[in-house]
Amino acid sequence: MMWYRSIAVIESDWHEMLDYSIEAGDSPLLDLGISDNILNGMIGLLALKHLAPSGQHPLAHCILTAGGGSVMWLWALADAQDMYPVDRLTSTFTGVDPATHMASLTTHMGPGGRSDWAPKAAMTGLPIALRWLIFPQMEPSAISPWQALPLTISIERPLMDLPHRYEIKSQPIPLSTLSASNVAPKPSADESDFWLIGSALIMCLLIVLVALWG
Amino acid sequence: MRWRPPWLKNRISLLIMVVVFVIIVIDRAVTQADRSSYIQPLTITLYEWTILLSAFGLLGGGLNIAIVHLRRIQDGATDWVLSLILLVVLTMVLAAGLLDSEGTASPLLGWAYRHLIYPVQSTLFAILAFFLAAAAYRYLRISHPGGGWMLAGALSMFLIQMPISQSLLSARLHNVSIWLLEWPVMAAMRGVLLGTVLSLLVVTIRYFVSQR
Repeated sequence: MMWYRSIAVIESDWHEMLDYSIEAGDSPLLDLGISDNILNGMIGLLALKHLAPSGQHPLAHCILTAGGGSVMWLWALADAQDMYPVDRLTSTFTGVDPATHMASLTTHMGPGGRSDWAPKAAMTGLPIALRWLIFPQMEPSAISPWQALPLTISIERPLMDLPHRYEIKSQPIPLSTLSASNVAPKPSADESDFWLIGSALIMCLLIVLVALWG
Repeated sequence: MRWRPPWLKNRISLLIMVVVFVIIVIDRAVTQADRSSYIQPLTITLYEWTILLSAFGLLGGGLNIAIVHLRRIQDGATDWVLSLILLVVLTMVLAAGLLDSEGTASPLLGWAYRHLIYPVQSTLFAILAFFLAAAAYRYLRISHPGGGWMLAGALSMFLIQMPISQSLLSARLHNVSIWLLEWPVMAAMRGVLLGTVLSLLVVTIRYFVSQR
């Protein structure tokens, strides 16, 4: 379910990841996800193909992963071999089912995982192998389930709102007029949502308890 | 072997794809009576080829895993022990299937699936709910105003659909949730699905002609 992403966005994220990995001395992981249908993996494959003209990019050793019951990984392997020297890229199959895919990703990255290229991703505290399943936009080309769509929209929206958020709507207030007394504190998103998220977490716990009891 | 320019190779692939697409569309469009006469054998052959190709892909995948992890062990890569464990287990499961006369129906393989693979998968997905809740709390709390509403909505649907809720909640509320799922949610889902599949077809064509 990375269908909402354009090839340019995936490519740009990959470039960012590659740059970061080179600085951190890591092996970047280009994960195409798992797919039982070759059609779902097409965006990732096309993004991979378009990454090739920048093959002059000073790539560190890359790991390309793909899985699922379709032949997507073979396709990715063939493309990767056309594009990169063998010593620069390892293509690997990650298994047919999601659990095996996650286990394979963890094996390749080690329990500590690679250094985090995405600052947003670090906030979630999620293991890297789980991100494609919960916060898909943090793994550029992984195919995620439909259930992750609300989380994707929820997180993408602040980014889409950025131009409005930083739009200057009035003249700046002179510093001399500001004082601690006349600046009213605005409730932050943290405060306004805290009670709601807290109650949601309690509800989640109750659901689990009820499930165990029932 | 004579060298062919890449654009020609792409055009041939595209032509094959278009021909196969047309055959499948015709097979789906014509009535059952017409289909059995000449199109159906052709489409069945195409589907069989797809299954064969997928089986070959899985076999190749197994080999690829073995080669990649052998290299990791040879190079002494970080956590190479994990790769060693993976290879040992892979060999054992493969041997269990190959050495038994019943093949994939071997009791040993059945035991491995029932007592090892399924419980491990269930455990992994059972803890996913906690990961999801914790990640949503940590991420949405920091940056997304209103994210809590989304979380509350998701959990409400989760609660309503639980088996125990059906006995505790009123039938009317239960019917409302079913109506929500079967009408507005399904309509939105199908719309998005149709749109994305059409866009993926365009992406596929772009892949073959290698254009941005």
